[in-house]
Amino acid sequence: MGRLRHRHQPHGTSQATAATIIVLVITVLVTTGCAFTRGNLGLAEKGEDISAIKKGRTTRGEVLALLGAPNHILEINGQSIFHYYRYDLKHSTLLVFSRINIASDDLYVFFTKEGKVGPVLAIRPVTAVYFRVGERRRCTPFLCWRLRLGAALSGGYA
Amino acid sequence: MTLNTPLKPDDVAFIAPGQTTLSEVVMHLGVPVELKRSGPGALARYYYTDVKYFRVNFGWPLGLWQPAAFVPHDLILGGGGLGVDLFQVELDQRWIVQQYTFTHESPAAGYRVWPFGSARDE
Repeated sequence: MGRLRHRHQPHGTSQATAATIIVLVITVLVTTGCAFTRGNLGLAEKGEDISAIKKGRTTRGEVLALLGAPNHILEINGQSIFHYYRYDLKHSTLLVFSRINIASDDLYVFFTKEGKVGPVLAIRPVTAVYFRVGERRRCTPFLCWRLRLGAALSGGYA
Repeated sequence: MTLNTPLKPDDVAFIAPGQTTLSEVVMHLGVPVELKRSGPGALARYYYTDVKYFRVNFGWPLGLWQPAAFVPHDLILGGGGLGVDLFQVELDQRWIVQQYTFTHESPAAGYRVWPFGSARDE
């Protein structure tokens, strides 16, 4: 006499599957009508390129070879200054609310009258763009710590 | 829409005119957005721009009603503003801060439901 064989399926597995489906459905429903996009103007200078610039040793030509042509060339206090900049944009939309945050990232390379590199201003502002809909915060504690660390490591300021 | 973050008086309290150098300003506030010659010295400028815009289409629900959906039925009221905060540091030839100043124009950025009249009246 044949027996009907039942596949053993513990309750925990079916509950986990149901929970996964519920989470997926909620996620789809909640994120419907949302949009997140980002863009940038210009390329970020590489950290190794900036750190290769040595105060008093690197020449104007070497800076051009490393970073390319500057966006602006300034003449201030008898010094020639290369100005590089880029912009980072993040946009978020939540139903009918939309917000765009843009942060600029500037780099100034000063030159002495002899054509050697003087000070380099390369510390990113204590800001960063991240997706948000509400009011803007200056930075999170972690971000502040990371930026301060980056500033300490980059060195070579005016 | 915002461009960069605003600076408050507390953020620049460390600046002592005649003593603080550009490097110290940069260490605290980051690299300025603009650096330009001014007389015998230079100006370092930090900008914060805020733009706010708001609009309501009161005619949108008519699009759900078939006879009206095929004819123009938008009735939009909206308004906004753009404001720029500026923090300017004046430096001498040795890159030492001589003075600094704020310009607060960001409150000009605001949501305005009523599009008629002038923003100055509000």
